[in-house]
Amino acid sequence: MLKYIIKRLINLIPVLIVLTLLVFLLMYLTPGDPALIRLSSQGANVTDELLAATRAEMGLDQSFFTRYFSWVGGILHGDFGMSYIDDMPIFPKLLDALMHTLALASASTVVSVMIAIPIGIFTAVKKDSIPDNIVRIFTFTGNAMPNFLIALLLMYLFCIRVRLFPVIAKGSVQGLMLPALSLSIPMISKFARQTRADVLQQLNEEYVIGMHARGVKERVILYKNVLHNALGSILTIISLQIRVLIGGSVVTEVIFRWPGVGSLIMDSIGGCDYPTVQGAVLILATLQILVNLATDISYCIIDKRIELE
Amino acid sequence: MNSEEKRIKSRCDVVKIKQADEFSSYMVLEGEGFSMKKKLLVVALSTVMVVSSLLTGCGGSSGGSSSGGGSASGGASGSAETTTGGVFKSVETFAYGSIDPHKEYYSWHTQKYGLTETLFRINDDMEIVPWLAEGIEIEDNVGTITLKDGICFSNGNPVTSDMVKRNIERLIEVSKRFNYMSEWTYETPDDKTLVITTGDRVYPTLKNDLATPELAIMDLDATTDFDNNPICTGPFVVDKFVPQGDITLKRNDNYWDGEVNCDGVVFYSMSDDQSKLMAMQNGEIDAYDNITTSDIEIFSADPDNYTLASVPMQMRSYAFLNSEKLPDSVREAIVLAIDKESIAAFLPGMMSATEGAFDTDAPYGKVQPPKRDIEKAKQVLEADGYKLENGVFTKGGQPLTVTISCYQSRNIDTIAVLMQEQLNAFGIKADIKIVDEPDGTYMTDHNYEICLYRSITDKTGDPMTWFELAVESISYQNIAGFGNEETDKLIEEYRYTVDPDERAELANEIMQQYYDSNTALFLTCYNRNAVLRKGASGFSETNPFEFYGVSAKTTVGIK
Amino acid sequence: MKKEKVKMNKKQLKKARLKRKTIILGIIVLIVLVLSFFAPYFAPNDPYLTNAIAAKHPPTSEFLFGTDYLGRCVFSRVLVGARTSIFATLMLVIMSFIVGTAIGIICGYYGGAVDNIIMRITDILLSLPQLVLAIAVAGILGGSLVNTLIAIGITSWTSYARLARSHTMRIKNLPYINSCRMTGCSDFHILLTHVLPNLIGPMLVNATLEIGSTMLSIAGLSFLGLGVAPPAAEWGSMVSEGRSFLQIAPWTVFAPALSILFAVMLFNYFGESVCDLANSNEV
Repeated sequence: MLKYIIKRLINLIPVLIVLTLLVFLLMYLTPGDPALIRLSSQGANVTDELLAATRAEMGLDQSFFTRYFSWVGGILHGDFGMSYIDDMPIFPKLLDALMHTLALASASTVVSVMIAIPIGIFTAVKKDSIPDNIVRIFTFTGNAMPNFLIALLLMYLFCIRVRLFPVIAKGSVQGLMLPALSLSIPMISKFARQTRADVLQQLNEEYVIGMHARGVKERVILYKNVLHNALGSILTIISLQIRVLIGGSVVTEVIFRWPGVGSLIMDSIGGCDYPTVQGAVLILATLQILVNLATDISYCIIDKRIELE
Repeated sequence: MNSEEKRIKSRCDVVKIKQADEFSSYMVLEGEGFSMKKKLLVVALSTVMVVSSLLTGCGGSSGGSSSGGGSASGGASGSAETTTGGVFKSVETFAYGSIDPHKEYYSWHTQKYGLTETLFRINDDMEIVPWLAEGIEIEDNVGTITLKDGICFSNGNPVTSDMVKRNIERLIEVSKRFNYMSEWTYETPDDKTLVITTGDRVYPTLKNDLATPELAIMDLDATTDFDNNPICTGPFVVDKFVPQGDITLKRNDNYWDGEVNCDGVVFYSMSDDQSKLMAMQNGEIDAYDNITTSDIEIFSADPDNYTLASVPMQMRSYAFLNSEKLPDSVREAIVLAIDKESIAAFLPGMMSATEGAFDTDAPYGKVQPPKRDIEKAKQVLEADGYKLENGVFTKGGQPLTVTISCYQSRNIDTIAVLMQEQLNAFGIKADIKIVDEPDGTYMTDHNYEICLYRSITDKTGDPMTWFELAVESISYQNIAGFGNEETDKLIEEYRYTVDPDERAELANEIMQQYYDSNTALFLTCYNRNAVLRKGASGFSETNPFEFYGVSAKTTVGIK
Repeated sequence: MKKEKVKMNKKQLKKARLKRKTIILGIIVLIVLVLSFFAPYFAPNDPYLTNAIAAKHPPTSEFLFGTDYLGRCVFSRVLVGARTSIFATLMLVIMSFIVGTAIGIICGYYGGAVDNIIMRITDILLSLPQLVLAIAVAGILGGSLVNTLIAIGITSWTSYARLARSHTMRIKNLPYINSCRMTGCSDFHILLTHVLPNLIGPMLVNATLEIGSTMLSIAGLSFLGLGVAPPAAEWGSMVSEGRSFLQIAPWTVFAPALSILFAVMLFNYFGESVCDLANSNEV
């Protein structure tokens, strides 16, 4: 077990190296002169000497690899560089944004799991009943909804038609509710469908039929065996969903002005603040990699057989 | 002798100032010019708030007694009721990490919050009036500034001329934009007097430069955290500032200019127009400005609860037509073909159509670009060999196409779409290219055919500002290939001309050349729009500049 | 014995029903595709004609979905936008399908160092949040439809490549491929005549399943302002344009947004039934 985790951690190193290289290259290839952007945002009268001086000051006259290594070196010390816009360190901003994104992601995941799994089990047990069909229509629709539609719909209903939620509630629990809800709807749809399918599959397994024959109570079979065996695939979809969530929350964050990493990226792109975009993309990608790792490790805990593969 | 008469070698400094919502606006502080005839288009609102020069000393007044004097009196349908105390809430579009007023453009915000003040300020009629200063005496190249009696910082320390001098020095050091001030010398004969010698020549815009928000006066000795808690002279002091987030201010009990009405001020960081609108409707904020067309529509439908204020700014939108990429005939045809009125019709309240860079009733605005004339536009193109085939002008088998570069701010992109449609209807195929920010792209690399931009074209009633901003060959906005020696000479001549009539004549001549080149097409003139909840007042909503906001007399809206 | 027969019939009946459903859905999809391709000719009004007087007008018989902030007919714009949105999606799916399958087959068939490197790259690309990467790429390349497609395409080929690779690895070890090789068939011939036909089925099923989510990704990016340039009509950007008028003209937001919803639902439903059909064939 420990060996497996260590092996996975070692595997992370090349991935992270390529990742940083990729992210850095992305910004390196960006058209436009960062020094010019910096100066024009400061409102200085741009002269050739000033431009050259600023380029030197920002280290833009150095080679690609020198710049890359100094950037990575900085990150290892928690220094993501300075924003082009306000010349303030990026790291505190990133950290703050990350906290907000994590809060949003975990809130919506918890809500979704708590709603979706019971629904999934219920509809699996009561297969083809009227409630099952109704839920199926809902989950099918929820699955196809663009997330801005959900967000705008919620906003229209709860902020414009019925003024239930305060607008200025950034970072607070109240402010979290609508964005979390709008992220949860497609997740609930996917989870519920997946849970239903998994439980159905397990219910058709020989061992369940055998247990039925032995007179084991339905509820015991369901919770003790079926659900436990279905957990692996449910976990897969949760981890897949978290990936979608990390990226997909951008739209929701933008609509509800939730000050997460997604909002930060959009604002920074708008202001040509590429070091911030760099940092934010890197943070989200690292988060994603860690989520993947955590998923694999938890598989390992649930099902020891995977270790052998 | 008046400095204007002695304008031998005046130089105005073009100061690029960032708008509260972005980085791309230029404004010029220039003064001593002709008094600006300002058209106030007050839809319905409460009123004037020029800071009174009543001296009330720095006594530690306490509590929320009623505001002294000049509280909001009714406009057309303004509210007679005013509130005492309470916390005034508004929103801030731009997120930033520091409130050091000397850095970047942070003073534009701190001044709006009632935290910082300057020696002079620009009033509703665009005149420079004293604020912390009692006045200024200008003799040739020497300006003698007297400070008001009894002015003090929020910690009770008096503001001395030495402190003002050190603030200027710090500003020069911190901000690259104020480098030119380092060529001046500063003397302080006594605690209340500051003598500025502007090098060896007359500097007629000295007073205006001292009114720039960046020249906020801070207590440099007592301030320990410049980025988060500068100690200044305004009616409010920092309570809590969250970098990139909200700012909360509380009453300055030591305010030098009378008692402060509100208990505090909050500016929520919020860049989304929808959220601002809903926050206002929910009663979560008292006022905000820079409102959108749909906001105007919504609030004007409910005059009992909201007051809208609309003041024309001298900010205009215009298009540059690149003479290196578009032939003369095409540029002329485009200038003749665009219908500005119909563009403005889509954005009622936000902007109105403009003929040229200046108002037609200004003495230097006698010359204006030619009026729209579709027939003439067609003739111009046909004379150059273009033929209208299937609704598109073609020459040598090539259809005439242009690309309009624009960015998304203050409806610039909407203007682009409307221009595109008009050009297509006329017979020029137009495409649109949207960039994130114009200053990092087409304004500096000049890679465009038609581009849209906006800035303040006429600040204090003198066209020199515009000449230095866009007409001279070395100017920042000379990006369409107009700049030439002949015009530069005229501008140089204009600089030294004293007689108002001669100046007007010269200015018109310069503008005639500018318009004749068809490198710029002036489109619309913006309004500054603000909305206030019933009962709320004192948001500087009648001032054409967005860097003025709350004051000691600001009142909170009625819930 | 009899019971067994009934059960068989039931299964066959189910399969027949599934087949019928898939065909009907296929026809509907085809109709939608044809309709959206010729949409500009059906548009009742000029989708680009602005009108200041009729701006933000609620739905009427003349303007079925009302007008937007420039007085343009929302219904006509939704119709015209269908072409952009649907064909951009299909193009992206087809391109990623071709590129991904080709890379996957080559990796699976030859293995070795190239395979290793490419699979590492897909690992890393899969570990990047797709939309965020696309936002960064589109933000840097500048907003245009082609750039948006590139931005999403950078990661979307990987899932096809992985699938194609695993199928190829399974197929290449089948005995008859070995005998082919013995008889002196070239690799190219084997790949084209034996490997490709065997994996094209499951790959196509996968591609149909991807249409819906690809459409959502494109719509998301263009909602964020990284898609088409105005005044072109595209569903995502129409929603984005209408957003500031949510309160006074909600139809400008909900008409295009619901169009996306219905299109995605249709493609998802079609994809699922194709998948079901394919599975039932295997059984």
